[in-house]
Amino acid sequence: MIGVVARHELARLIRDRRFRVLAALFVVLLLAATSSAWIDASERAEQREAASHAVHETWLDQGDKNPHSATHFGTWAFLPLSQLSFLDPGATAFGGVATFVESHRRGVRTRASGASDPLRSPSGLAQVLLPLLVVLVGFDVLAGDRDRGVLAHLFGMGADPRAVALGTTLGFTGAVLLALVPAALCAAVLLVLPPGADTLRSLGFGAAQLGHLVVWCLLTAAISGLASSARGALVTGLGVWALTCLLVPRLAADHAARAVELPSPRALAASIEAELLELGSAHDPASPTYARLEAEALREHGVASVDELPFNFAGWVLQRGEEREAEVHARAYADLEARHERQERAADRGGWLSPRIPLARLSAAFAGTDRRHLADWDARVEDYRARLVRTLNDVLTYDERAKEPGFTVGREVWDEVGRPTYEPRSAGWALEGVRTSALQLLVHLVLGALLVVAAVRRIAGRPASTLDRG
Amino acid sequence: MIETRGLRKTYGDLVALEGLDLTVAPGEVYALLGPNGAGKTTTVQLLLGFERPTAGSASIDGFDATADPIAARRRVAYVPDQVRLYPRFTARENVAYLTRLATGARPDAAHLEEVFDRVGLATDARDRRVGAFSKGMRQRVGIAAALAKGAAALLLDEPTTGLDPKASNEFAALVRELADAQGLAILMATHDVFRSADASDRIGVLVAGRLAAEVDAADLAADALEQLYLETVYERPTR
Repeated sequence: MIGVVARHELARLIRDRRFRVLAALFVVLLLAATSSAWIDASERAEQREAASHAVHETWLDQGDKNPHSATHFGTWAFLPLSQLSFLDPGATAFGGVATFVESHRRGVRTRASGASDPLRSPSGLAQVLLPLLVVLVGFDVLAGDRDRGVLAHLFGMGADPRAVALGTTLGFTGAVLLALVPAALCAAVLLVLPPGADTLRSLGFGAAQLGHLVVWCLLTAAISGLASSARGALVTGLGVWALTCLLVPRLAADHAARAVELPSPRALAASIEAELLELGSAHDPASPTYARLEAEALREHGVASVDELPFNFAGWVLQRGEEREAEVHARAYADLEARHERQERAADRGGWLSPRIPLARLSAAFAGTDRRHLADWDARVEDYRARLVRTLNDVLTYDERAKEPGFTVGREVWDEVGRPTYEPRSAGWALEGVRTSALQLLVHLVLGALLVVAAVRRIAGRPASTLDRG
Repeated sequence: MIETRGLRKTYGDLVALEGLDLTVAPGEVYALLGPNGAGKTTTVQLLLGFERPTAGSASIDGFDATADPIAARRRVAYVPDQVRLYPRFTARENVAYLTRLATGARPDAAHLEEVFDRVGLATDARDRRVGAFSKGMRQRVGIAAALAKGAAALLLDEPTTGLDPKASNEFAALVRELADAQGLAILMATHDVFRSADASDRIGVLVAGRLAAEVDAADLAADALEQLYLETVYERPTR
């Protein structure tokens, strides 16, 4: 019987002009945002590929020079964006996509021009606009029928109130999902057909969106059943939307920013600089640090002077200095990363109140554009930087010719460094970082279902609340 | 059969219904008259199990409306004063849906045609959306749903309110026929004294929750019934 009611409700909504207009509006917006984002992302990917190729050519064509000079010449690493990133730009909308790689200094991603507004992305629309449309379409699925006396008539004819209430909820949810089929097909074509498509990530992304949508369908139907009138249901639905989609995420972000302070870029750079100054320079033969390293090398190899060492000390000391400086940077950025993570966890607490917060986390995680993915990329760039510097310092250290004045190398050495690469992480890895968000979304689904049960009980217990006492 | 025994309903200090005893046998039409606030709709709500009585019982075909409201409702068809239905569905779709909800089975197409014929719904109206129907036509669709369901009893709440005199007469004739030909037990809560006289077998007058008078319709002419009604409701002689 629930199925009969659900199919009837689905047909009723499809025949409802208001539903068709709102659904069409949303589908048009979503398709426009998706295609615009896809075109934009494709263009950026081409630009990044061209830029990556260009800077590598520049690196290879830098001419003959001392290897250590080349570590200062540097090169660029460009953040490879995932296939799903066009649906949710996540943290890339605020952070940069290009990192300058050179010795003595850990690179920081700089902002690329034209970074997209996350709320104009397909995922942003799904997080904010779609729940609003669900409320506008569904606020009267039960309350409207009760106000008009339709429910009393149905129940007076012997219909099971529970079947009617549950079937109506199911039919309404089905109608909303059906309205999104065109957009879902479009996204599926864009995501599944291209070579190298990560199906699991796409499924995870889709499941998160679907789960969030179902939460709103359950919530809207429950409010419709529990409210005393259709107008009351509309006001309550809009209030819940404003609270959970707008206010709570804003408050959660503000609370997190106050609870866990992040150093400004200038303060961070200053603190690293101060520590490096204390560490001393391995470049300067007059510095105590240089002297300590020299003594260490002589002691380890049991020789009296650097000329007796089995390698070129000038190269060796540069590499040791580089490693010590890298440790300072690593500690500073590890602390920063830990603060970012604590701040994120603080903001995530709002996710128990607002389903938008866990959806945003899950969406960016599966799209590969959340903070964790960017931090992972930053770590890979740092590994590449270490390899670049080591490769070139090793030439200085172990090439016999390096002791001769005017020693230079050329393209064949620059080519050894290679280019920064990034192996995309699995969907499982992405999910690991947002397990709490997945749980939160699940809890919202359960709460939505419980509220529907409460609404069903209310309707079954008071099916004819609009009947006048005559 | 529709039956109440000592049916009482209070809302706090307000006594909406006081010890109502009435029985409507199969094939009988019982008109429950009374002014606004007399307890007519409360009686209907209690018979449908939409409210719990403070005391007494209400039953449909032997099924207690409080203990087993769904079973009781499955034996009765309720036609409210405003038959709203689903405006974007046709008369046929509405009746089929209501019947399926009530009985669990899809109604036979030929049976639906027969039912529409019996209630006098024009052939060309059966596949039109009910949103454009007049009140009289929607009442017929409501009755059609009752017949399609195979109900043993009918509860009508102010069925002639808003109908013109011709439509009211036609409706009264339809109610009479349903009782005579189909053997339905029909309880009609109404203000309409004249149609009550035409369509009913017995008439009860509710005043402030009490059954103040009960007569056989055959024993009274319509104008005498009106006199009885006014004297009972306003507790003063009218002549």
